[in-house]
Amino acid sequence: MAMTAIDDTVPASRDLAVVDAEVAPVRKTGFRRRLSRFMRNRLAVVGIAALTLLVLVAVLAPWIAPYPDDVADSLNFEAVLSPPSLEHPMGTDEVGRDVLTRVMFGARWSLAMAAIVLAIAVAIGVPLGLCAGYYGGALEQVLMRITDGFSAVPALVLALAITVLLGPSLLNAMVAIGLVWWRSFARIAHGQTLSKKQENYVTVAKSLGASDFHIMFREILPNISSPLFVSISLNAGYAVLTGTALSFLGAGARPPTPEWGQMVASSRNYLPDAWWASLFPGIAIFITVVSFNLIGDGLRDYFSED
Amino acid sequence: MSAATFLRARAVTKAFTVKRNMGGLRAAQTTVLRAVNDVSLDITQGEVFAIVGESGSGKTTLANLLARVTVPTEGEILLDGEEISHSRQLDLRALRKKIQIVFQDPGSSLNPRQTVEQIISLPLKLSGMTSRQARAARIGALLEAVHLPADFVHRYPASLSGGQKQRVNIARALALEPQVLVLDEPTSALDVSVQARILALLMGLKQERALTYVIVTHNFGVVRAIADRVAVMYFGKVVEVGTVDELMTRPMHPYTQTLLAAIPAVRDADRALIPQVAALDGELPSFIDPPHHCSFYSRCPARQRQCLERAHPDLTVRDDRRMVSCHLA
Amino acid sequence: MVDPVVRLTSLRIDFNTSDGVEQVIKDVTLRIDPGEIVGLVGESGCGKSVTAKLLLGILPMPPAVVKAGRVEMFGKDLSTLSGAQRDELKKFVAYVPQDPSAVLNPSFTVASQMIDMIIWYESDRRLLEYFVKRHRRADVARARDYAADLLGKVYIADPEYVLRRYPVQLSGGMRQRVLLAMALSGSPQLMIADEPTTALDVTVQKRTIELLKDLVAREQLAGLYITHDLGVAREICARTYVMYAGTTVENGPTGPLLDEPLHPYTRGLVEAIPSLAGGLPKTIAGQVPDYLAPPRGCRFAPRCPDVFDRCRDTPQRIDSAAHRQVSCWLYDREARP
Repeated sequence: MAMTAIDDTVPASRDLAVVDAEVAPVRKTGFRRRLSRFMRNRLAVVGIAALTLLVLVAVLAPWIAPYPDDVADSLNFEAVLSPPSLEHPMGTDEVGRDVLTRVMFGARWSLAMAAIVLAIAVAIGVPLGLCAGYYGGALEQVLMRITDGFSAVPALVLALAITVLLGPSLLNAMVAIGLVWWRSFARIAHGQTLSKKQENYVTVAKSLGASDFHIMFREILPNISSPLFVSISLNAGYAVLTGTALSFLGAGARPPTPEWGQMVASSRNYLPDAWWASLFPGIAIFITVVSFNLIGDGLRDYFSED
Repeated sequence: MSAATFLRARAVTKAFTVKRNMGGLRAAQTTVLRAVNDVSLDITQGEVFAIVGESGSGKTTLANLLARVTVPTEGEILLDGEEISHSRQLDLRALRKKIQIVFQDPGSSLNPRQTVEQIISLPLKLSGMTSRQARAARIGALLEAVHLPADFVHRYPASLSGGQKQRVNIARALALEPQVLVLDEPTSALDVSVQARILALLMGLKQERALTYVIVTHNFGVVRAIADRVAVMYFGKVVEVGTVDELMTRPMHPYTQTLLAAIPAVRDADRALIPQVAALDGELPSFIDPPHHCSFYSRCPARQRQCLERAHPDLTVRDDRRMVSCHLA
Repeated sequence: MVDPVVRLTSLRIDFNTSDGVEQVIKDVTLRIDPGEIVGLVGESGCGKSVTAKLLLGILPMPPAVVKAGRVEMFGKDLSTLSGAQRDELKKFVAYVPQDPSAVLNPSFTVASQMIDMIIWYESDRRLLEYFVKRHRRADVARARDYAADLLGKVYIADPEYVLRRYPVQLSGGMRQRVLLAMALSGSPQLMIADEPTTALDVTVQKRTIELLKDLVAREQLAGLYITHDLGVAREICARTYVMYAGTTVENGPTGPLLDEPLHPYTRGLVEAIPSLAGGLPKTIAGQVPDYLAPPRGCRFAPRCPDVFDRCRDTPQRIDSAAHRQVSCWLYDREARP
């Protein structure tokens, strides 16, 4: 049988060929193109900007805060509950500490809260959902029913119960919320795994003798990361909110930790006269949660365009 | 080339139990669905063996059985004399050094989140090639063999054309230097001009590496272009086997004739090579309640009374490796 | 002289994308007369779907822009019509897609979906009228009878059986026939079929093709049959256009076009199909051009075995013997090497 030379890249040479050289077009590389597409969502960009500001404030707090000593116990009788002014742009609280400084340092706690909670929740929920979806059968039933069980109780109540058990502290609050939050990740991972495990590339990996671990974590997981990222972002906001709620209820951060929820709680007795001590931490919480939500929405829209 | 049988299917059946909802309060009925029903085939080393059929014929299931992607419910598959379908101690990774499969639909066979390099590395890593340089060298050689530029290693499947994706699939299948390649519809999803190039590539590779091919297809043009022998499948059974030359010029089974007659000829010259047989209107028999008589009866233009009364005809040897399953042929 | 149903003249369409301007359609000239089925043949990326979408009126107009040429349908120049007038024309165009499951809703019976379409057309696509009629017993009964009629036209032996079924209960070939019946329900003057038999088994395809030919003859339809399968084009289409990289490079009566192709691409395409007589098919070197930076002049030049220096300029469309046209310098007497 006659064989012809084949080459995908270079056209067969021709004697008389006078051909315009094919110029490879300048296309934005994959990353930049995706970035510009994401940037089209104005609100998401706002969210990212706000979050970036928050992170910068949290990181640089010790250097940019006007009164770093006010983070700890500090009593300043003359300045107790003074309204916003040039020296104290957000006023002072009931023991005379600068609210702005404490709000800045509070950012550290809230972001840490989000990070730790999500780390725990993802570390528990995603492998659980992956296994449930991949193995199916009895294991799936058991794991998903456990997930359902955890889902039946409102997050705050469950976290509260756990914190009371462990003893009230901010760290315990973070752990508690993490232990509660894994359920939505488990559910997402489970559903996504069910659909992806039918894909041909999974069959190929199986037929090559790849281990179950490899298939779940190297083949399937990268393909389900998009909805997980959306969920992480949306949940981050609520995790922060729950953390502040726990602190507000006294089960989380204890004074004098400048955690926003705690700050709102301890200053709320002075509302509505000394409104600034509760309001500014409250606004900080609001901005943080909304930023995470905007980013999450933006990610969801971005991935759904694919 | 040795004329010995290299890959053999012996009375292979793949059955699925199906629960049928009977409606109302009656208990669900379980019936058995045989996607592949008592199939025996012998494939010689070095040949290109085609399996032809339409949807529901069982050809993809048979390909999966031959390549041990699934195991048969009855019967056995032998590769180079060794039974590969049932042994528990079977080392799948060792098997893959002998036989590989390229699945239908090149697009979904590639993990969209992995680069070409990662995709082709997988079988190499699984076979114990730990050195990154060794892998890179092998991958480079494979890309060259399938005529893809070396810098494609960093590309993701989304930036590959259909033909390029198929080349990556082929490169991956060849990574462990197997002796047999099972290809399920290797060109069906591709444009005509790309098909021609992939076929040429496959034949070139076959000669370079002394491969044996089992090609599942519904396209007789592909069969004609590259296959040596062909088996026609209908409703889970093989109805005719023969050399491509013989079978296409003198088809014996009415279904084979019907298949050939249905080919829309591009060139006038080809038209003369097509038998003019009309199949009767009809559908495949029910899988849940299969007939005991010949399964092609409902559509057979040559059927007679005896075909309804007798059991399904055996696949009998006629002459010189020609086999037909028909009471009348 | 009757107006052609469709006439595209030297059409040029650009697409504005975030990467730049893609010159997707460079020079498309195409004509469909009443009562004939015209084939549009080409490989993926050649622009045949864009052309189909244009005729169906569903090409999104930004980002697509018609840069040159004329689009005439049913004798009217589309650029002279208002948006509402163009929508009116959509009524006369029916679409048969490749994948029936894209059109047939799995949750409704065939009867329900066909009645929906029939009443929708009857109400002249007016929403309120549609709702009223859809719930009036007499109208529904009438529509159902018409649906059964249509199913009979596509040679479904037992229309009642099919009407009562859900699409998932029917075979692929049957679903395609239902689709054809639905396409006929608006009494279209133009049918655009996009690879309607590609997903079907070859024996089913053969019967569907016979059905289509019969239908066209009986209903006096004009049709555009888009396919990459040259054999099918030969069976159904009296005339065929071959498209490459946004240009109709050759057209003519299908038989002679395939037996004696003029344009090197057509020839390459025909030779790439394995012959039933045996032998490896011949390949076409190179790749489809990048529409962001296509070659100047003839777009096939980089891959053409007969290229010469005149090919730097875009070829003119030349009338060749017996109703055939080709866009290639090889056939221009002055330009020939």
